[in-house]
Amino acid sequence: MGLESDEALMLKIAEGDEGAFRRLAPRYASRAIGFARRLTGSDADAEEIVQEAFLRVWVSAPRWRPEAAFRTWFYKIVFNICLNRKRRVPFFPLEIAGDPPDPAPDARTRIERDQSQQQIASAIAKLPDRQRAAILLTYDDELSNADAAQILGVSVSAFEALLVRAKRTLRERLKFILDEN
Amino acid sequence: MNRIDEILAQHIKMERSADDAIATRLLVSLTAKPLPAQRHTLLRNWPTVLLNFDFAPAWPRIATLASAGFVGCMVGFFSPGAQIFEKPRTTSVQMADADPGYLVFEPEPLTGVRP
Repeated sequence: MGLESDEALMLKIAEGDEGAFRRLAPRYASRAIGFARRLTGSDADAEEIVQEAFLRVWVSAPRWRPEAAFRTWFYKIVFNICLNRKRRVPFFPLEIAGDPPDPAPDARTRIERDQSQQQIASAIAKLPDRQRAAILLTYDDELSNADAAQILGVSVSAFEALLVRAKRTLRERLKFILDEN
Repeated sequence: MNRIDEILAQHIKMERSADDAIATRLLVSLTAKPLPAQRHTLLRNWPTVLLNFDFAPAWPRIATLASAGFVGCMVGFFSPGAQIFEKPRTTSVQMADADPGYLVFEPEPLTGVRP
């Protein structure tokens, strides 16, 4: 028996088929976690965001129309939740805040990496949200520019401009790594 | 492939093991909890409602009589010879003047002499 397409599974999910949902979720869990983790800079947030995204998929499945690819629709949900969560950061007085939080991934992961990998992660983490998302969608998820643009809600040319700007910034920040090699 | 492209792709691939571990944990927690109720659109079931609706009349004889009466009325109203919706044809006489004698005793066209 061949692998069911995402869209076929979504039609079953729309009918309330939990088994179809449990077959579809593992296909995107890891990639979506990676996308959310690198976008928010937090493992815990990424886990919550992707869980919320999956629950939204389940709840809204009866309203889903197979006009757009499931993957694009799902990543759009994840991206929007990431942005909303970043906007909802609670306000604390400056005295309590102490040092500004490092947007790079958690300490455990950082220790495991070598220095240059840390610097690359940090350079990506310091990019503006949309530029970072453009880099992640292109290199992590290997999406086409058209799909990635749809996820970010911009035109293809605007997406390409984001990507060019992001790469230019990364080239400047990672100049010493590029020169080493 | 550009050098920066290589570095970025390689860096992201190296982080995937951490993603997999979190994803496994997430999938376990998704399986453990019951899923919430789905949100359906209001018009989702209307074709089923129409298909399930019993259009057969409760009293077949009365329904047959009413249908036959309805068909009869339609034939009567709209058949080719029917005149029910046509305006009645009336002849109207317009009087040129208030004096009716003027019409009766029309003057001679050439001489203008009245008979």
